[in-house]
Amino acid sequence: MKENHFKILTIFIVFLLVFLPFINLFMYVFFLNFQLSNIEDLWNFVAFSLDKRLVNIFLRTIVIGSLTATFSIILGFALAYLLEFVNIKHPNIWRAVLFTPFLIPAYFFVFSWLGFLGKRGTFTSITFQNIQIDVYNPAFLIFFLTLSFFPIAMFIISLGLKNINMNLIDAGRLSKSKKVLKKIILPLIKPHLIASFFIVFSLTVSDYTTSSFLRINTYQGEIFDQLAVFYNTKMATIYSIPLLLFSFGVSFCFYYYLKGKRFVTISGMSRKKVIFVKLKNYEKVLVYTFFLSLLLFSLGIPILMLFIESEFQFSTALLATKNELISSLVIGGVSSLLITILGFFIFHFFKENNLLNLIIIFPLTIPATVIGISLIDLYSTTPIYGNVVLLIICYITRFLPFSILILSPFLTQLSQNLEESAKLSTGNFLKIFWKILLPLSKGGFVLSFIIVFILCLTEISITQMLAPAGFQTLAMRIDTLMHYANYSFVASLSLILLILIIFLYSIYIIVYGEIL
Amino acid sequence: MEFDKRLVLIFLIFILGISILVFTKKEEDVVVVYVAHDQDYSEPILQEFENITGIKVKAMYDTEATKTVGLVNRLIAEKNNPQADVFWNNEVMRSVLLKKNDVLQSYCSPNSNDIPSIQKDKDCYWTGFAARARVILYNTEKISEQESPKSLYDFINSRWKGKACISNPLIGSGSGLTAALFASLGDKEAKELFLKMKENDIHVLESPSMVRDQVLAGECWFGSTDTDDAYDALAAKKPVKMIFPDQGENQIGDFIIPNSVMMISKAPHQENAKKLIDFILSAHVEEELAQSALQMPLKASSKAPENVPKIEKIKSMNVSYEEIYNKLNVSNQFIQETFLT
Repeated sequence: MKENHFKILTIFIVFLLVFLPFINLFMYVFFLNFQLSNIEDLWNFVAFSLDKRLVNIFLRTIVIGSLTATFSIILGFALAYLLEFVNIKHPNIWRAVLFTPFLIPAYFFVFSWLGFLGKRGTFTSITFQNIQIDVYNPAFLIFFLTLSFFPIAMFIISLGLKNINMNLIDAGRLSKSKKVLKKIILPLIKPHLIASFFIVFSLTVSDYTTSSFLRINTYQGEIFDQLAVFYNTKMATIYSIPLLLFSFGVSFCFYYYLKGKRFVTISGMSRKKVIFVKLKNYEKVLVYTFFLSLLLFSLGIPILMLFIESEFQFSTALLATKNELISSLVIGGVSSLLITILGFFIFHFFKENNLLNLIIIFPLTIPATVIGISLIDLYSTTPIYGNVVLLIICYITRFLPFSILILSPFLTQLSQNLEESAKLSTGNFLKIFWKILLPLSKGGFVLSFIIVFILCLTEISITQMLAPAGFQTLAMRIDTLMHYANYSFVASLSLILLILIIFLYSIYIIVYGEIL
Repeated sequence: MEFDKRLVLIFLIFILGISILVFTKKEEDVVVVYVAHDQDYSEPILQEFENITGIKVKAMYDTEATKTVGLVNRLIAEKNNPQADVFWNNEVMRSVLLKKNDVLQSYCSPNSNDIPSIQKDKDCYWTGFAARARVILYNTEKISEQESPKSLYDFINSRWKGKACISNPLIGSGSGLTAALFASLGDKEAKELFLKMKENDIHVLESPSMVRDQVLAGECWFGSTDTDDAYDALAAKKPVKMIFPDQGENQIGDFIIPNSVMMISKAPHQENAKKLIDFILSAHVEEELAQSALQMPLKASSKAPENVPKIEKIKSMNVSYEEIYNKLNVSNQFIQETFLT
């Protein structure tokens, strides 16, 4: 099979899985049966949008998203900078461990932190009984989401830092070393900072579960209520239009801003790590304290609380949910394999094209429930509806951006010459892929598989909408038990899931040694 | 590490093989049921049906908070290509909604004959069975029996400012109670009641089970929850007591919430669907639910343990489920604008 055939196939799949569901949303709302039908609803929404309550909720959501993104970038930049340029020991191990919180769903943080800080929480019992910390406010929502999302900012910013030409930094240090950060590093990684901001922002505004646990009404909640309370799928879709417009806006801003540049580009991955900031011992202690504090908040306390809440019912919980666990492993395995292969081809064919940024940013900004509605509408009369295949399609739509992001540093370091030489000996692209490209990028392939697998394992909102009858994933079961207030089972199962996540991730770290 | 292609190939074949085995196994003698009732209680009953009849039950469960999205919206979306044969709802209002959206098919089960007519649809689109009720659960370490709240109007008593909690009035049985209050009291009085609740710093929690837990913990002194959740706490001998509210002569009565079961229009396995509905509407299942979830039987022939109150001894709100359904949109709109700011 020739490379061009693969390229056409990839474009077709991207259109079918990434763009068609969103095009269908507009068709579903405004052009039912290919006739303009719903302008009146849109007009009602525009009129309703001027309602003070809805404007407040929308602004609150934007503020929460912006602050979460800002804090995540600050933390992500600090960590990436320290790990890349400072003389600390075992930076790869630190980087791997600090990335782990991203793999834990944000609702786990809330569940465990409520156990710690809530009115009956451990914190209250070990301090003073009359100290009651009210966690049900936007500040704590930002705190929890930042703990969950800072690793993705660290990951993207690390790509930028690795990409900086060290000669520029050396030149800067020779003239005015104190201005290297401001005058050289920050301008050079601007695309990565902006990309981190919008990705964390998008993840925040499309998160519903965490805000609902903390009883904070967000714009996502309003969309969800249109579905859950008023059964008005069209209105829910219309409510999503501001987010869709935002998505379009962001994608096109990227398109123009990044003309000629790509935030996923990295050419210096194979370069030797350069340390140009040498810390004194007490400064190193401060850095390690910073790392450990972050890990305490993002991993230590949640895991400790899950242990306490679990009442050690691990075997009972595991036996009661073994079918769900098997279903999760199988569907996660198949989906992540397909996503990684597709991500591989997308990056390979579009790495010189700004369309790549669009494919990455676009699906992240649409709320999961809205994607769910669109997929139901699109496929409800086809044989794949009511089948796990639809769930796999939905996972591809949702998690493809992550696979592309993870694969990008590994694929850009592949030597173009090798590929060109291979093309001279064979025209079969599949052979080149199998014999040259895949072995050379095996680390990225495995990492993408593992991380996407973990994301599939923990996905709830869209799985709930599209799972066929008789099929339940472990995350769905945990969510159900959480609503039944069966906390010991929830904590036990969450820990089992966490152990599985950490186990998979550790295997990768042990075999490949680093995450980038 | 050397990249072993054979290993990758074996891995690929393994994953695809397992998925083909697991997901493409065709079963003819099946019935697909969507279940909004708690999985802990409904699953053993469906398992029993499977054991007795040999018909494989494929169930889709959902949670208290998301069931309306997961199941009712799904049933509406699937109207032209139905996947489910039977819907076991844990309340009635959404069953009326499904009927109005032409999602249901009429089926008069012979086992529904001794169910009171108010608890079933006159055209057999849905049939009620095994009911819960809305109750006030109070913490006996915080409130004595004499001063305990006995009416929903106690939630607006300034004496209990910041001490009471309710489950989300937009979701699940909470939304049913709200619509029932609008139907029973009229829009104006119901709105005033909720506005005063808000002024009285009432805590709005996610689900009835969370209301139970907060009352148990003493964080709320009392709250409005469902009988099955309250019974859990009573069975565990926790310091709580339960009251059926508004039982006085001039009071509005309590909100009764039966389960309801219905057949889906153009159900793919119609005969099996009828068998399952007949089974669910049997006295045996009501007795099972009375034992496990302490739900009150509606059938005259069903026997219940002594600790389960008789439905006929509870004064219920004098409104039909159709009337309650008709108020659902108005009440939800009001609650959304009042509480979700």
